[in-house]
Amino acid sequence: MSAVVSDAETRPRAAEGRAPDVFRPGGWVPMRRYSENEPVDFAIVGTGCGGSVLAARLAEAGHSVVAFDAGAFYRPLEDFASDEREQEKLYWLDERISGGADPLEFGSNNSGKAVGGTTVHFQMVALRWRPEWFKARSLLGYGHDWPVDWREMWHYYDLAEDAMKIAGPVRYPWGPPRGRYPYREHELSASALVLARGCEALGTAWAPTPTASLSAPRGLAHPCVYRGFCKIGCATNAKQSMLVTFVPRALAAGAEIRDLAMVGRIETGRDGRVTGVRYHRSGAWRLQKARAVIVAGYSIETPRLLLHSACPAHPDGLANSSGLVGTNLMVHSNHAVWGVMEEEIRWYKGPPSLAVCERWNYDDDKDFDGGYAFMSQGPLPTDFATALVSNEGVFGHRLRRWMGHYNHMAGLKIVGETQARDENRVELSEETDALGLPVPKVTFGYCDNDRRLFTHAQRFMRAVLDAAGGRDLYETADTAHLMGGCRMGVDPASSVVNADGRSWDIDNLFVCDGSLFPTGGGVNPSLTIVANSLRIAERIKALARRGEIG
Amino acid sequence: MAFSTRTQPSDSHPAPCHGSPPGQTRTSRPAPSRRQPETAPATLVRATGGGLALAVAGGALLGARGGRPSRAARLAGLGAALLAGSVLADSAMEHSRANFRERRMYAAPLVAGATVAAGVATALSRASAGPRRLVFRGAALTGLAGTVFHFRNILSRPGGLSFNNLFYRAPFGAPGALVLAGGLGLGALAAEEREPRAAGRALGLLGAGGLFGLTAEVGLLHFRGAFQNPAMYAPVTAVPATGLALAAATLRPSPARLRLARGALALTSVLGLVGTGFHAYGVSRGNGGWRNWTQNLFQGPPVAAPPSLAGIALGGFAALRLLAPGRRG
Ligand SMILES: Cc1cc2nc3c(=O)[nH]c(=O)nc-3n(C[C@H](O)[C@H](O)[C@H](O)COP(=O)(O)OP(=O)(O)OC[C@H]3O[C@@H](n4cnc5c(N)ncnc54)[C@H](O)[C@@H]3O)c2cc1C
Ligand code: SF4
Repeated sequence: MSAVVSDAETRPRAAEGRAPDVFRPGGWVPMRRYSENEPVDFAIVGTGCGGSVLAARLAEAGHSVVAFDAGAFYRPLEDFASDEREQEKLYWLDERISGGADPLEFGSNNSGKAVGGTTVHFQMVALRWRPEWFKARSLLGYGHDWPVDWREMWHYYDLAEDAMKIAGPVRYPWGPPRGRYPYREHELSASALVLARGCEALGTAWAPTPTASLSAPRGLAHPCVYRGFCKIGCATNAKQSMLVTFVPRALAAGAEIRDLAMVGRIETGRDGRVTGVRYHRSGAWRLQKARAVIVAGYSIETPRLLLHSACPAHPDGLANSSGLVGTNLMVHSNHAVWGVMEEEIRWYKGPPSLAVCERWNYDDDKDFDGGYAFMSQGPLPTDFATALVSNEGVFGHRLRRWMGHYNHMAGLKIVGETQARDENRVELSEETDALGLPVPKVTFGYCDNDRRLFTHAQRFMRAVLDAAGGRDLYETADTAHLMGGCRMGVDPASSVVNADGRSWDIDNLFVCDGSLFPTGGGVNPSLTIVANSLRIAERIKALARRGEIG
Repeated sequence: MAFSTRTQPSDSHPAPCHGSPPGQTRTSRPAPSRRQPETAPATLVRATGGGLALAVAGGALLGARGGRPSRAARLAGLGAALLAGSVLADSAMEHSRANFRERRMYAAPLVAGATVAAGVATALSRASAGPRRLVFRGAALTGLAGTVFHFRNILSRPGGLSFNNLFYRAPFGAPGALVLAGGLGLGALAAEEREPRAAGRALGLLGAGGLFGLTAEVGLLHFRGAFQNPAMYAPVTAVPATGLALAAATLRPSPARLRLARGALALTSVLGLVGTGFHAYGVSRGNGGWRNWTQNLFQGPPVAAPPSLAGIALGGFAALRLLAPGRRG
């Protein structure tokens, strides 16, 4: 299949006062420009769920904002191909050293590199947290408490869901009652029906998954066409990624976005406060002055940047007086059970996870802390073949035989909470990348509780798939998502930032992305990141109004 | 997939896996099912259009001879034809999308076609009431049976009577349009044969019931579309209001009520026409717009649905004519 001809990765597009219009092929929208030498109110590193939300909300409040992203600024309608190989351009594939007892694989499963961040290739599952998880330590006896009340988060969930026009069920069976989702649930795909059938046979509740994909038109964005290319970037704009929601909002409100701009260092003054960011764009290192810096590069890049920005006033890295920057990195275990169905499923059709069971997030009668949700699956062929090769080690004729069942396969996969542990962490290695920046070194291992969790999950999902009529069941192991690395909390000794995302050490340095999570929760993270970012935006606006930032 | 990750040696194995791979226990590939519609969209649209034209022409031919019917009968006959035409187009498309998986799925467009012809004929002439009555009765019965089949289809999926199934399985209200078409046709015949008040009352109540039923169906589907365009509220407010006005005028046909109902019905007919335009616009908002009509005509709002509003409204007008004091048809 031919690659898409696009200059997005070779030449900055957001420049000279204009930025790509994501809704029109070849289109542009005007973009405000800020001088590098005049400090802007906020320099934001990253344009994912953290960065783009803050860029939009702070610009809407009248602040001068420049947001940087190392990735390209795509127009999905013309830059995305229905080709798994081509779309690897959306993954963060810069070198990372991965170690520990259970080393993580990076790229397709956990981090993106594009304006819009990882949501450009996320799978759109948009679940709220169980309220008790925000006080996991006090109420459930594990992990850490969030410095936030669940009711406040639920208010921001409402706003996040509306901003992304989440298509969700009219009644959701778990958790406290919630308002109506802005858009209605999608039709269940055949693979979602397998989950539904299995759960009904076992007498367990299930639900259509709240999904960040349009079930009806929205402005210039088209409704979903159910072709199922979600994980590699949606070419219709049905997927409500940050690229088509908060990024256009930020631009319209007067924020500047700089694509293909890798921030290598946060600059500090002699007083130890931050003064701007040094970034690499179009072959040169440049400096943007700023009155405050917000780091939103996600759980590996945020700690990496903070650690690498060490200076005489902060010799162990910025915001790191607690020594916690980079620690307590979490993933979701992504264990799965697969089977062959008699009927044709064609699981690649439609968003991949249209049915969900959250029973084990809300039922505490189990032998592990934390919880997991499981969902129906729909991997594209290369993705599935890759999982087969890496999990089962099959090649050649055997692989071909397996893939012969592709259209009859169904699968269930968990998003399983792993415990926050100091030893799972991001550090800087001795090696440097092409820009001379230290390559991050990531250490990860499961603990016994994590193992009990996914063993439980696989047993349960096996029963569900079996009850749904699945045959030749087999299991795979994987991870997805990243959380933590810059925990927020109420105490400078046990957290990196406070509830406002503000560093305990430097009052004009903020963190706002998935790295703030003190615990991981048993659902996909992005809706919570967006809601938390909307909350933090209000806090930062209030600080700025009172003149307390700088 | 290319990962640039390098993994440091560790003493544990990643990815534990258990179970028997399907490739080892199954050797033959299951036969693919035939879920894709066999008829190309262009052919389908041509066939539907042709069928409609044929039905209208047939009706005109049948109605060429015989005395001119009363105005009320003409209106009700046309209403029946319009409703049945909408059913023909809608069911041909939707059942073809389901690949006419079951034979009985042919019944809806075929019976609707016959009803179009009978409706047109009834609007044009008073001749051969017997065979027409048979067709109209057949339409009503087919519609009733269809309702049962559609409900069975809804209930057969996990979730049962859930919103997901009500939204996306066979539409529960669609076969009702055929019942209504048959009913209007019978009403048109009654307008010629029975005491005008009784015929008017039957037609009025039928029309009002139809409007309420339609409100439920439109309400459900516009709710499914999250009322993303404010215009989507128009039918769910105007149609039940018209239903009320028509019912009120039917039960006590005072001049004021008759006037009100007439106004409301006029508004509803206009809504039927404007709604078609809105649905066409809705189709254009799918990915690829009208250029991609082969998909968007199926995925978008049904273009053939809103005219059924005008169909019911015609039936309502017929009722009001019959009910008006001192008027005969
Ligand atoms: C395949 C896949 C499927 C997923 N599915 C779901 C799902 O269904 N539901 C869900 O809730 N979540 C899902 N996620 C997770 C979700 O997408 C992420 O948790 C979320 O996007 C993280 O948001 P963030 O703002 O913290 O970081 P990101 O969205 O990753 O944003 C960080 C941005 O910062 C940029 N950046 C980093 N460092 C620098 C630097 N130094 N200079 C300049 N720019 C920098 C990056 O390019 C990136 O664009 C999925 C993830 C993947 C990979
Ligand atoms: S299935 Fe829907 S959300 Fe996914 S890529 Fe296609 S249009 Fe986008």
